Formats: sequence, structure tokens, C-alpha cells
Amino acid sequence: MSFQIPKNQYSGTISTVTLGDNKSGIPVGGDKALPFYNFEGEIPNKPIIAMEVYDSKPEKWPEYLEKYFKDVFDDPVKWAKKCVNDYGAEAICLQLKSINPDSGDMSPDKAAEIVKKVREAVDKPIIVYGDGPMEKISDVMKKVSEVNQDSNILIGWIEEDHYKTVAAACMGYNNNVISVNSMDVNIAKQLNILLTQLGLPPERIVMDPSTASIGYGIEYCYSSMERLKIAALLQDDKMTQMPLIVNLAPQVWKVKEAKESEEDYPEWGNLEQRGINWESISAMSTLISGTNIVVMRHPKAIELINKMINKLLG
Amino acid sequence: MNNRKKYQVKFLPSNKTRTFKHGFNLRQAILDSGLEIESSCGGVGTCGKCIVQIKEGSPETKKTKFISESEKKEGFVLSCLTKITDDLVVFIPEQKKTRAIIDKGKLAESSNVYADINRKEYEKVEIKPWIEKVNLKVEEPSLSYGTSDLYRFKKAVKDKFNIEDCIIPINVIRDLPKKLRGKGWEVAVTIDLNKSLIINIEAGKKNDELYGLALDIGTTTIVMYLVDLNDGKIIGSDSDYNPQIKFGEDIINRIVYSNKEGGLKKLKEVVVDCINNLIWRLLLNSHIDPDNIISMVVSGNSTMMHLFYEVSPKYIREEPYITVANRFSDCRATELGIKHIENAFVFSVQGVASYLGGDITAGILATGMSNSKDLALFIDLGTNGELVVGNSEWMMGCSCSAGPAFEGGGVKCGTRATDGAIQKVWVDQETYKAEVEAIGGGKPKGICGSGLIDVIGEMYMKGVIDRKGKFNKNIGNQYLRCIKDDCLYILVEGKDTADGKDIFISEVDIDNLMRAKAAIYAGIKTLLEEVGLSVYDLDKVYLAGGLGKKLNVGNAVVIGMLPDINIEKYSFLGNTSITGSYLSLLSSKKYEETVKIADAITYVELSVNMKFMDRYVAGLFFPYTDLQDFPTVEELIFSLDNKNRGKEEK
Repeated sequence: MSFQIPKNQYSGTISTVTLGDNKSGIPVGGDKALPFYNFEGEIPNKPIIAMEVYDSKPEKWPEYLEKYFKDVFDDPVKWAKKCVNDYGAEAICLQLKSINPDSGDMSPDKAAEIVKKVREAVDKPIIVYGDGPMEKISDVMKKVSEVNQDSNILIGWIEEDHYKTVAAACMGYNNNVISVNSMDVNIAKQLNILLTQLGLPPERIVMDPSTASIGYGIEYCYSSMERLKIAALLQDDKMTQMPLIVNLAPQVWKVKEAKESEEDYPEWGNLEQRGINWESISAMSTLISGTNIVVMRHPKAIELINKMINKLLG
Repeated sequence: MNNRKKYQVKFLPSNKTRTFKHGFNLRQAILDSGLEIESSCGGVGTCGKCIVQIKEGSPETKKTKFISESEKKEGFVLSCLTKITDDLVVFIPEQKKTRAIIDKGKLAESSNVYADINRKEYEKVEIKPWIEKVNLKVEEPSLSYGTSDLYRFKKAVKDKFNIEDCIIPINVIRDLPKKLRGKGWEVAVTIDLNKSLIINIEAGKKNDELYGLALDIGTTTIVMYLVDLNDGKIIGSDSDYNPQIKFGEDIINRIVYSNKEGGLKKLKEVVVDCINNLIWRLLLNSHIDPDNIISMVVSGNSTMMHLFYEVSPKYIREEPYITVANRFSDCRATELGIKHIENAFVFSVQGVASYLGGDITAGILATGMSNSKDLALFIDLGTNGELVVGNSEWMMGCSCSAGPAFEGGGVKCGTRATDGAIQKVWVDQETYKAEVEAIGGGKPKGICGSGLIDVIGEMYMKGVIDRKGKFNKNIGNQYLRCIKDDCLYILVEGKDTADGKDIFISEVDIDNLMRAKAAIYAGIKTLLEEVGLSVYDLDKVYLAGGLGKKLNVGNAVVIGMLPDINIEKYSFLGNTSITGSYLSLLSSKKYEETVKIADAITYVELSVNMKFMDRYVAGLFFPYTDLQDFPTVEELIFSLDNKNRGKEEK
């Protein structure tokens, strides 16, 4: 008798969330097997890489990273276009740093306007992450959703104690929402229950498990994401079937391994290569533990990860 | 600074004055002066309850969040953080009364409940205690029959009981010649048949009266029954707060205190004092001759037993959490410092482990589950929730720390189940107005554990709070008072309460109960899974504890504390520990059974169980993160007309 490779039987499916409007819309999720296990079940949509765009000139980026974006730092629209046109970004992740009261306190109207301009300039889906206290993020995202009605942008973020305002705004204006949990399967489920009971369809929710970079606790993230996927696919647990997003770039590029100079750490090798490695290995880990969207920064790392995804999923 | 200096401290309103050395802790000074001061943390500055007002003098005190600036100006300090460094006049505010939780009427009622629910079990009990009193005729000596008194006495015992060589303590021998000759060589002998031990000898024939005491030493409450050993009737019952409370409200704080110098002795003394008082009160009301009380059976959790026998419970608290003994040696009451009942012998009910004590063994005995093929779950709700699952063939038990919420602790308007405690709550679906029922029927003064379970179940069902226990703010609930994000749900307005202050529930209170109920449910699920069972396999669920009798099971299920199974499987037994020791007192067979039960229970340690932790987090949600665990609750919530539920802020 010939050897049969044992196969998992899947009872659940990851829900499919549509990102972007009519011209830019792409489906995310829909997996019927564990990450990259397309030999066991259908994975209709490959994981996507979203490239970061900031609402203002970022501080303290190392020179080797700055050089790719220096010319577009002054304008999020140009920046987004460059990501799409030069680096092949599949989605744009707008990091609204300036809304934080400590770094600009940008008004909700202004922030919403920036999102709108970027969205209209590129025909790729838009993801938005806020920064600062939850109250401010909620105020801004409510406006962002209102100004960008019916465009299926993915709005981040909401958490357990602050979910109603943004969730209602996404529900009312047909946008998607990122539900954040702190690497905890139970909390993730609880938040999803709260959201769906509020009336938000599961197809409008993407989960963010607050993933760290390698060297900073990624093992824990890995296992909590894996648990979510196993519960979703093998146990058909509806409240874990939302696709996952990992807002990785800000995590990777703040660690010393990606920043410290070669003079200080000669044994660590070439700084740029080190940064690329740090981001791409972190991204690989989150992808194989189940993320559907990964937010990245360095064009070379993105190139590498794209290769990996295409090789594994054909 | 002269550290040898001494200071006069006068306490108001009692007007007691005592002298203390420089730097002596004020709270300790209050306790040493025989006065009461509340402090659930055991005097480490974390509970904020031992507040006093300095009327004269300026002691050295530490800053604390429990005292506001204005209060500070008026001289309020936390006594545990204050050192005596001056002559002082200290005003001690009225302490919450450490009075009996259950008055006599209610206790009698609770014993009726026992009789109702477990009548079968009760009627089966054959009254035959270890300790018996029998008439004995001892041969008279003569010149031709010149053997010793002791020899002839032992011979009489041998002839009667076929006991070869009974043990007679020296104090009994001392009285032997007098007692033998007192009424013409006829004596009444009190004997422990199990150990062939002669406990007492009286001259003449026995009178027919024979009594025993059943005692339950709880962390919070001490309950005692006076029982007629001839017919098993409870002649009297009484209860009191465990006076050790002032040295720490929970077990851990008591163990900490027992490790302090003189702490163990002090804890033992106060509990024995309390027991002596209970005996005294029972004797006064019953008019029986205390010499006819021949035995006492005591049950309690492991720490309480250690403290009662004055054995250090230190290692109960330290990994790997070991008791000195799960059952302490039987001994005379007088050896333990117990007064009034010099003839009595004391037995204790055997425990299982550090956090599964004799109170649980006694509880299992009371349920009768060890004699039944039915698969049963026993839940004792208290600061520690103890769980035992099994039947006549096997049993497994565990303990999960639930926190003090069930006993009204950690809740701003919480109180123990005394008169005036709110024990039932209804919330109106339309107006969100709460209707309450207080114990005793008078004006409410606080909310006890069962009331808390009730109100949270009601609030959740009627949409006042969401699944995370947060208030739904925009549903037009006029009983919700908010200052920024801090909200209080008013249950009873100040004008209708005993002390004129509003009785309310805050999100912090809900959190505390959430944690307690999460621990209980996580314990139930984990324990059952250890033996490969689900909640649906259970035939019966027995609930015990101070709040058991008043508990609304429906609401306990709604909040996800108890499994969502046929509600008819639940029974409430109230205080099962006292019932168990009562049964053990009546029947040596029942007492032997407790030993078997204790030996049969396998203890599962949950503190190191990862699945328990996971389920605990899943339980911080109403009713539970896995909604399919609570199908009936989900249906109920769905079917309720919740037009406001979750639809706000759209």
C-alpha cells in the first residue's frame, strides 16, 4: 500500500473581507486551510502586503530607509503613489501619527481629508491606523468613515473598552474595522462577539493580535495567531474566523537591531541588510502563523516576502 | 530621639487609656487594647478600612490614597500606617458589626432546609456516636479479693465490651476510687469505643441525658449546634462571626498573621473564646447540665483547623502548599482551652488538602453523593470556591480562588449576609428601576453576595450592562449617574436606605464579581475535563455556602457562573459543613464515612493549570466567551425585548 500523507479535515472557513471600493476592491481571507496549506484546502486569496504611508514627515528614520521615500515625505498622496507605482504595493496603510495630541493633534476633519485624497489618488485599498489615546482615535476614525463613505477602507482600530463609536461609524458608512486584542484569543473572540451583536457583519471585521517583531515576543504572537486559525478552521468557531492583519513595520523599525550602527555593533553586520532581514523574517513568521495582511516598510524586504508568498502559493 | 519613651493613648468613644512604647503601631495598639478595628488586608495599608481620627497629638503616619486632603486636615489616618510617637487621643469610628450572620430563627430554618432536602439521608442515620455512656457495676473488693480498683474496673469493662485493655488517663484514675465508692460500686462510664479510651467516670447510674456539639469554623462565620445524642434533635444553635476577621479577612492574611510573633497563639485564643461564648449562650438557653455534653465534632477548612489546634499553617501558603495534618488528633476539650464542657472529647472532620478541608468532606457527607451512583458536582461558594465531582465510586476536587465578592468584599456597597443586606433584585425592563428585597425586610444597608449575583444577572438581561460588564450609557437609564467615564448604577436612593447613603453598583464592583464567577466556572470546566466529562453528564449539582440558600440559580447561570444545564438538577443546601459535622456527631458510621470520603477525593491543583487560566479569561465576559456553552441564556437574551440593547450611538 502506498503512503498517504495525512490531511487535516477543515470544518470552518476564514471569512472574506472586501477591501477597497469598486475600482480598487480586492478580497482578503476566504482560506479553507491553514496558512500555505493549499495542498489540504483552497486558499483563494493570497496574503497581501500593505505599504506604510505617514501623514507627516517621519522622525528618526535611518538614512538607508529614508533614501527610498525622502522625496515624498512632504505629501502622503505622492508617497502612496510611489509605493504603488515604484514598489508594487497591494494596499496602502496610512499611519495617522499626527492625530496624536502629543505630536500635532491634527483635527478629525483634516485627517479624514488626507485619507480621502490618498484614496482617490491610488486605485489600491486603504488601511488606516490611528495613534494616540483611544478617545482621539475614535473621534478621528468616525470622521474618516463618514468622509470616505462606501469605500471599504479598513479602519484601525478599536479595542474592548472603546468599540461602539468606530464600529457604528463603519457600519453606517460601509467601511471595515480592525479589532485589536493583546495576543489573547479570548479577548479577540469577546470583541468580535460585541461587534457582531452591535450589528456589524463579520465580513467587515479584521483582527489585529498586536504582533511584535522577532526578538520581542513574536513566539507568543505566533501561538496566539495559530490558535485563532486552528479554532476558526478546525473547530469552526465563528468568532475567530475573521482575517488577520499585522501592523508590523512600526514594530520592526523601532528595535535596536534594525537601527544601531555598524560602528557600535560590527559583529551584527551591514545595517541595511540587517534591517531588511529583521523585517522580512518577522513578516514570514507572521504569515506562516496566519496573517492575511502584513504592513511593511522596506521595499527590499517587501520584494523578498512577495517572492515567498508567490513561491508557496504558486 | 528617645526610643524608650512611652506614650499615653486614649481611645474614644470607649475612653480606654493605655500606654505604648515609642513607634508602636496604632492599629496593633487598638487590637491589643481589646477594641475592634476593621482591616481586611491584615494591616498592610491596602484596604483602607482601619481609618481612625486623631483628636489630640501628632503621630507619625504615612500618606495613603484612602485619606483625602480634607480628611487629613481633620486628623483622619489609617491606623495601620500610623506609629505612636506622641500622647494621643484617638477616635475609633463605629465598626461594621461583627454580629451573628444568621440569628437563631434563621439557623433553625436552615436546619429545616437540610431536613427537607436530605430527609432520606437524615432518616437513614442510625444514632450511634463513637462516645457512649454506659452503666457499669464493678466488683467490690474484700480481704479475700484484694485486687486493685483499676484491675476490677478494667475487668468490668472487658466483661461488658470485650475490650481487653482499655486506656484510662491519669486524671480519670485519680478520681476512680472516689467515684467507685460514691454510689456503691455503680458507675456511669463515658467511653470512646473506637479507641478503648475511658473519658469519664461518674458515681452512680447514668442519667439518660447525653449531648454533643457540632461545630463549623468558617473563615467568616462560626456555627454551633447543641444536639441531643439520644434522638438526634438539635436543641439549640447559635453562630457568630469568626473574631479572627480583625486579623485579616481571608485565609492568606490569617496565615501571614499567624507567622508573626505571638500571632498563632492570638488567633487560636480568639477563636476559642468565641467558641466558649457560643457554648455558654447555648447552655444558658437550654438549661442542660454541661457535664452531660460528651463530644464535639468540628469541621472547617484546613487553615481554620490548624489555627484551632494551634498548629502553624505556614506551609499551606508556600509551594508546594502542604498541610501539617489533614486531621488532628482527637483530644479532650479542655486540652484545647475550651471551657464549660470538661467531659467532652473533640473530633475533627478529615480534610483532603491545603485548600480542600474538612468543611468540604463534611459537605460531601451532607449531600450523600458518596453513597449514590448519580454523578454529582458539589460547589462550596466562598472566598475560595471548592468543587468536588464524582459519585460513590470516585471523587475529584479542586479549589479556585474567587475573591471576596461572594461575601460582599471588594464591592463598594457590599456587606455580609446580615439584616439589611440586599439579597434579591429585580430590574425593570422599561425604566431600569431596581426593586430590592433586604434580609429582615427593613431598610437596606448594603448588598450581599447573592444580591450581587442577582443584580448583575438582572442588569445584564435588561441591557443595563454589556457583555464586558460595562454600562450601556445611552439607553436613557436615569438611574445611571456618570461623572466623565465613571458611572454608578443606583439601586436604592439614599432616602430609602438605612444609613441615608445611596446603594449603588460600579463597574469596579461588576469587575470583582466577574472575576469571582469566572474562577468558579473555569474551575468547574477544568475539573470536569480532567475526568473527561462535560457539564451535561452531571445528574446533580449541590450548592453550598453562606449564600447558597438565597442564591437565584437562574441569574447565576445567566452571568455564566454555573453551567447552563437543567435548572432542576441544582439543589441548595446552605451550610453543609455544619450539617456534615452534625451527622458525624450522631453516628460513628457517618464519621468513618468522612474519613473514607477524604481518602477518596483526588485533589487537582488548578494554580498551575494553563487551561484553567485560559478559561478564567474566557469567563471575564457575560456569560462566557464560548457562547455555545450557554445556549439557554443566549436564547433568553435573544427573546427578551431588548430594543435598547447595544443599539446606542448609531
